[in-house]
Amino acid sequence: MTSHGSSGPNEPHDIDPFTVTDDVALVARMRASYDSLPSPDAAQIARCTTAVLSEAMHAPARRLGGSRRPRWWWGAAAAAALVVSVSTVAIRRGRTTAEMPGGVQPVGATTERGDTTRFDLTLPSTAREVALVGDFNGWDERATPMVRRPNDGAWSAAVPLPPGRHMYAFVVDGKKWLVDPLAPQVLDKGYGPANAVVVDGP
Amino acid sequence: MTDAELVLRTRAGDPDAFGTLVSRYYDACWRFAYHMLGERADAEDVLQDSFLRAYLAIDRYDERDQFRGWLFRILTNQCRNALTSRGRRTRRFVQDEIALESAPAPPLGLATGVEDAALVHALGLLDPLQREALLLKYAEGLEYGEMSAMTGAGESALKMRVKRGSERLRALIGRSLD
Amino acid sequence: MRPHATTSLWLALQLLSATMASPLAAATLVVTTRGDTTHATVSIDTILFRDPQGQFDAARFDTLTANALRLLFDDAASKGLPTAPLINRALEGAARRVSGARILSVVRAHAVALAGAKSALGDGSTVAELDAGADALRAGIDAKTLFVVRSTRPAGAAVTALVVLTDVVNRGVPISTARDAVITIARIPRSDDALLGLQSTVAKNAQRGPGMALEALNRYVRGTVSGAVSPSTPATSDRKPVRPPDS
Repeated sequence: MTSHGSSGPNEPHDIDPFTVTDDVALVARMRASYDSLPSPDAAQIARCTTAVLSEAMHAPARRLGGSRRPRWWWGAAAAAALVVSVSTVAIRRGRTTAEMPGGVQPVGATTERGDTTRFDLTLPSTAREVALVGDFNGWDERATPMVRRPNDGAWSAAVPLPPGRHMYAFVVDGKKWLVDPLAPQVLDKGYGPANAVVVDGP
Repeated sequence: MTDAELVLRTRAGDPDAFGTLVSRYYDACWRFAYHMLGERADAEDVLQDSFLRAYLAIDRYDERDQFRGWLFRILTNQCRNALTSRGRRTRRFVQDEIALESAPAPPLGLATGVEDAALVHALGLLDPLQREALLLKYAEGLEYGEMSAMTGAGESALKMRVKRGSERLRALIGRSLD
Repeated sequence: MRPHATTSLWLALQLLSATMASPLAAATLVVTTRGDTTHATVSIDTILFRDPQGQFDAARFDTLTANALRLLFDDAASKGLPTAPLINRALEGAARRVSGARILSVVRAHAVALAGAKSALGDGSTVAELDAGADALRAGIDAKTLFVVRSTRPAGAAVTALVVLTDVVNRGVPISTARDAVITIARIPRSDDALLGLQSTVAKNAQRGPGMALEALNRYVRGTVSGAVSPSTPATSDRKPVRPPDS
């Protein structure tokens, strides 16, 4: 980082500093371009926050050099437009952002360790309870309640899953059907979307 | 709430603090990134990378610095990385230049929602360092001292880039300016 | 089936129905086919293995629907189709709290699709492949495409390819383009991670606007083919690796 006034070996000295005469019309044009550029919409900004959250959730603590890692939880006040139910807007053939909600999206992840698959879900708003439902538990809301992780407030559940494709979704507060928008989806025209995870196996 | 307070809250795990910081600075970062890179998808990627790096480094941010400046430093670095990895070719098609020169100037007081495509395209034909210097000086309104702190280049080198960049840009779109 | 086996199977079933807690289970013959069993041949361990995926909890449906479902399951079984996927669909419908009529319609449609998948993917396919294949067909993907995907992988190994294909098509990628992309990657051995990476980048970019999913798909395939992504490294993200910012 150079300080005020110093220069590198190949750069002109400041002994005879030259002034740059501003090209007024050019400057005006550049400023006008800045002003006229359409602002990104709320959905785009929310996607950015979601992406940061998603990547940070998976960043191992050691990446931060052991420093205290900010804890994430999402208060009810988060996100101007809450994602009510992604199931109605998740995917439509050929149509994308026109229907995406303007709010921050839920972020999910699946991790395999041995015979167990762990499902993680970060929600943009507080929930009282979240259930993992899928073809491995008869889609029963009572079978696999998820637990909030203390460090970052994400919901989590681990299930022993044999190799193969397994379908799943999340039920929030007993009434909202939620899918992970970025994980592989199965779209049943009669039902709406659910997620699919493929577990590695021999 | 000030930036410093939001940073403290982010570190403490406050629900909305980082989201608020993103909302607060996204537009400003977008303008710069879009003019530097010339393409929406690239700009959106770079913004995502920049905010992520800011988040991961939030513990290292010094409250005595301006948050915006700190963030912009990350942003300018990320823009440079993106351009380098894109292997930016400099297209110097004569036809392009002629077309630009005769393109009509958008009127001042441009309606919002309409971008100045000709300008962005012309910027894309500049050397990246010149483009960066022009944007920081004229669009962002920084002083050379601030630009030096941000980019690590000496003030004289920056002045040279601004001068040459202006000349080149005028050569490209000059006719439509006056 | 050998006579001995038939008798012992029959006995086992009687025993099973007597001991099962739910009387309904005794009335439902749950036939889960595995590996290359496709016709009426059923191994004993299949019957005795209480796979929760295969159990039909009729209590979650009204009587009319439950009865109609049982008929559908039996019909499918008699055609040599796996019933676990159909039972799962029914239970999913119950969890979604949709009407019995809708559940029946879905299960019927899925049964038809399972039959189509079996014909396109072949007798040697696993239940997971048939189920994924059925979803692909119902997403509008043609049988020929399934057949081609099948050709890239040995029996049992085509699930990820089918899942990814269906997903990207549902996100707006044209079927033929999606097929070509998936096949290009699926031909590389052990490329499931690369396939999932394709799904991930398409999903992320689809949110950005029309045409972005397709662009991302093309970029990704080019990168994979040129060796930029080695098949054995997890291609879980299309992004650069994240490092702490320079200080």
